[in-house]
Amino acid sequence: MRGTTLPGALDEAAATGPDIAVSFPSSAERLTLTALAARTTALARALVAEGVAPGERIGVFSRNNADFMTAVIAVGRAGAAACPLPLPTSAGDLAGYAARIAAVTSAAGVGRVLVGAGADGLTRRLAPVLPALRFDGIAGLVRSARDGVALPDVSPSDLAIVQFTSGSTAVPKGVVLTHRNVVHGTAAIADGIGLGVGDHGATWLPLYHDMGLFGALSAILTAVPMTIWSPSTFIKDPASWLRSFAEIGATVAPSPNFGYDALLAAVDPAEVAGLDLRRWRVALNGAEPVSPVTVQRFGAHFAPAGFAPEAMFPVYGMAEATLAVTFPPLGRPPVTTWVDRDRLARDGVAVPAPAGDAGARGLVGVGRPVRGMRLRIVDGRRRAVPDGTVGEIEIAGDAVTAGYLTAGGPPTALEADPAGERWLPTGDLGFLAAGELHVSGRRKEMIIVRGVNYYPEDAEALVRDAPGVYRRRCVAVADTDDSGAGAESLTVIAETTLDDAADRIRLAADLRVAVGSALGLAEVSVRLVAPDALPRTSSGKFRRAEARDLARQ
Amino acid sequence: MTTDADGILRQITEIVARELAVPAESLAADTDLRAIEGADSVRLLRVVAKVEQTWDIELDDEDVFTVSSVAELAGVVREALQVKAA
Repeated sequence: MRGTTLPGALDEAAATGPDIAVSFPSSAERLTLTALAARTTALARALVAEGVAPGERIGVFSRNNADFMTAVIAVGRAGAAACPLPLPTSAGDLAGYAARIAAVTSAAGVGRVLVGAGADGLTRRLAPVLPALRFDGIAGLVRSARDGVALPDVSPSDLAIVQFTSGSTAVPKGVVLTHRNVVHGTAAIADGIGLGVGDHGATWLPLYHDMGLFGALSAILTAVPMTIWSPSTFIKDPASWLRSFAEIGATVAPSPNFGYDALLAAVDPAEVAGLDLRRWRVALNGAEPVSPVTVQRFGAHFAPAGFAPEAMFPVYGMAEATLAVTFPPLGRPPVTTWVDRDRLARDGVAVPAPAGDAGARGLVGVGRPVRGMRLRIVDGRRRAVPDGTVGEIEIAGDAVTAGYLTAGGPPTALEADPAGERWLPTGDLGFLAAGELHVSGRRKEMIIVRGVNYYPEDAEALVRDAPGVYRRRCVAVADTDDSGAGAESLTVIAETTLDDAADRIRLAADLRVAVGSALGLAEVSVRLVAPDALPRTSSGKFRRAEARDLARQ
Repeated sequence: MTTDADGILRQITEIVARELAVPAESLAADTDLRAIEGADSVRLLRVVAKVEQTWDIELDDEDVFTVSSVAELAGVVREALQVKAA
């Protein structure tokens, strides 16, 4: 039995496997669980001595290194809640990035930010433009820690982590997760993949991303060795990452679908035979739609290296569930269900169709609810629908969030239904076939690219005031994927009075660049329409769904 | 591999053109890398990786974060080469 809080679970893991290590090759660090637990205690003492209040939300701003892991757990030990902050990706713009950090910290009520090794240069640039935040170095705090500072009692119902699922400035939404959520969620992951003796977890995902953080914690809290690289180590050279992964004999690694595509592109067939991937037992594929094509190609491409077909493990999860919602049965190769594309899109029903047929859409099965998770598919009035019918996916359970922190408002909490169950609407659409979940689309207005969520509201805010846009009238819509090819994009539709062709081309390019560079997203297209072309309600709000039809004309 | 300023600029332009699949002639020293069609954060990091391999240097994620043009990237490379030579 594990502890009932995040630090409690770490202490138990350290007692079970004191010499089990967490390694960070990108920063050449290695900590045993004993050392990690001691370091989190030292940092927690320093935080309490600094006057951190119970329930205070504290930002964690660090690369994928020992400081990150120490801080996330130490904040919980100090009775506060950790809010992992995203690091910038390459070629960002400082102002846009600072605005995202400001939006997230403001929604979460963060005033104090813990800075890890290697993030100090960025902090020097950010601090002057974010005067509301106080930045404290983690190493300095650990050094200042004194024994004898009493640590608070932490309850399983206390907030442990506030997880933002995107860096959206328009709609920052922090998922609130209690210690109970984290302990149950990570235990469900360990249970679903049979994590135990002989395993070795590995990840290159950012630890500020839910799949990176809870994936790593699942191994650590189960006293399983864990190796954590920086994301740029993988992105810059996926093939060398795979060689290191194979050399350390890692058995479990997660990635969004694009990571598997990156490995397919980076490793030549001639090099595959030189790799030994026989120990790779579970390759979790989630955080964005799973492509049947990627799954099939990856298995075939890496088979000569001993990659087992059943190792590819397509999953469904989200921060709101402290990650895992459904997992396939262990030991089963991926299953693709082929359905009639038109019937699915038009009537919301999954009618079997011949595999690979032009009119068929392949959906990779993502399994059944993990331990402790309940799932149902509902219609617009939240009534359960039969198997094979598309509806919104709703979830409930001990690992499911109680609600969100949003900008400028009180925390939103889930309402209990008459049976006392608090169902969380996920915003995702799907159907059950023989008890197995298939995710078919999205109700929420959002796209997912490379595991990152992007919201149309952010694109609108970026171009609304651009010269050439008529009366700030623009709407962005999300084009989600229904081809299985993984192509999601944002379309910005803007009204303009310009009619010279060259001017229009220039305006379209300007808008695309403004959105693309601020969001770090290449998947943006622009459509210009005449003044008053965008459909609006009587109160002047844009009708997004109808605007979408304009984008497709 | 060249280490004079013009050579670095020219070679980086070639790397950007190849990695982002655009004609080298379409790139100027001050072209905004983020404005190039298809330039997402992953591809831009691949550009950085190729640059690192070419000059056998390691660029800090923090240093390349605000780089937005070929000229700026060349500046970061020159600095890294100076550090390496020192």
